[in-house]
Amino acid sequence: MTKARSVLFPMIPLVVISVGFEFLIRRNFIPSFLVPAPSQVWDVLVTDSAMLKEAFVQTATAAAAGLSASMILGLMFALFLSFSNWIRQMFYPYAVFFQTVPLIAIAPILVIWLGYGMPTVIASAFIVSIFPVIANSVLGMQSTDRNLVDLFRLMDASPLQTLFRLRLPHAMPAILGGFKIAAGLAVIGAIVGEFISGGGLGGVIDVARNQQRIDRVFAAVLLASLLGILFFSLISILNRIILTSRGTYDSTPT
Amino acid sequence: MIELKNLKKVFTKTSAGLGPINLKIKAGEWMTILGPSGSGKSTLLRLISGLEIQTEGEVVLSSPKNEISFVFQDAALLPWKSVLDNITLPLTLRGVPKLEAQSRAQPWIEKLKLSRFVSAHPHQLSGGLKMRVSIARALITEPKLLLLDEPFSALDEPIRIELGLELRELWKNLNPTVLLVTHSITEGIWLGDRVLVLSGQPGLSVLDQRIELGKDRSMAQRAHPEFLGLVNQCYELLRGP
Repeated sequence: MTKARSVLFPMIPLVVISVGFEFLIRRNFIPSFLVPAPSQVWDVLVTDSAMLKEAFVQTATAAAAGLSASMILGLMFALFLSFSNWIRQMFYPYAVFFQTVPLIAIAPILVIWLGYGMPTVIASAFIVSIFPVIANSVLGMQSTDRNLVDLFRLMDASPLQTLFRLRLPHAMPAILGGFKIAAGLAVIGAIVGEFISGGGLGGVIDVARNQQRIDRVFAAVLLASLLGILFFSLISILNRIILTSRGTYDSTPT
Repeated sequence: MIELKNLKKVFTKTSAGLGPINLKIKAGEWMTILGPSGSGKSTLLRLISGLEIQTEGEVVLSSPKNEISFVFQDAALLPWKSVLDNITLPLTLRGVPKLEAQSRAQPWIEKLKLSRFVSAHPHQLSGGLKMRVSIARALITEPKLLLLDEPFSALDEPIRIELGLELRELWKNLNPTVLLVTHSITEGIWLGDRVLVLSGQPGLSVLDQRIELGKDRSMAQRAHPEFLGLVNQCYELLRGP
């Protein structure tokens, strides 16, 4: 019953808002060239389904590739940064660079380097999503309980043993939290990359905008949001599997 | 044997931390360290274990550093490891094969009554059980020096007494040098063979007294006039002027 409620309850505002917008737009209270009626968006989703499906798969592939790269390389870089204080002091500012760089400004550079198409979109998703992985992983490893660090020192553990047998597993919830944030950002990064280099849902949005097809823009935006939710859910499942397997999963909603 | 020569630790220029302390502790002796908060009791243990570096003076240890075990106030268990894996941790870190480590853990699991909990994770254990795991982990390497930093402070009185007595029994068989830091005067005097009382800031030795209660300890000893006299003496010293 509780599970059914958790699915049904969020649907209530969606239905109410959709019906409300349908009414307001059909009665011309809101012009349909600004906001399409939900029924128009649904029509686009049905009639353009083949094209939208292809765009969805393209964006999903690029975002998944960018996210995978940021999870793997971000974690490796975080391990490198956590190895010693001086390494962290030397290299962490460069990690911050990835956070502060305006993607929309460097996307044209990516096109020059990597050309139009998938590589640019993957690079864009990667750049946007890597920082939360690095930041959360480093924070998780640095916030290891001081008594446990002392214990490892007393047990003559090597720096590598302390890193891989204490700091890394200790940081796992924070690392998985970073993956969750990165999952949503990777989709945003892929869409922005596609605005510049074409293809995918970003390309559909860009072309539809130029054609004043607001209904198609909304359909593509809806699919992009669903893609973000899908990625977030997949990482949440991964989070649950890993933390449950080590007996430390806390099912309390956060 | 442990010898502290003019041992001093200063944390900041404004507040002195500990010492100078001069002390000799014989091998196999159980010394209790009492003192008000901030007197440097835990710092003394950390200096002896090498976790802190002294400002002045010297710590002379007859046993090598890898024969020291430390029990922290909060048990300090790895939450993602089972009880068995937590207990065998010091051995597996030293490269002892897992199966051998597990068989070496078995007697400690039995002695500390943990047989039913070997595959449990720390979050499934009570405070008393967590401390049992921590003690088993500290003893599995059969250390020459056991440093106990308020190990029973978070436990209920009956569990404190039970665990204290069990630890004393284990100490009698293994006979490591034990340094026990505690806030409980009664517990400290009842379990120890010698008591060191530190004053407040800076932590200086104000009493170093042998406790003549014999090797075996029982609840009845807590009512002995000699025991109560020493408890009162320590209380007066800790209460201050």
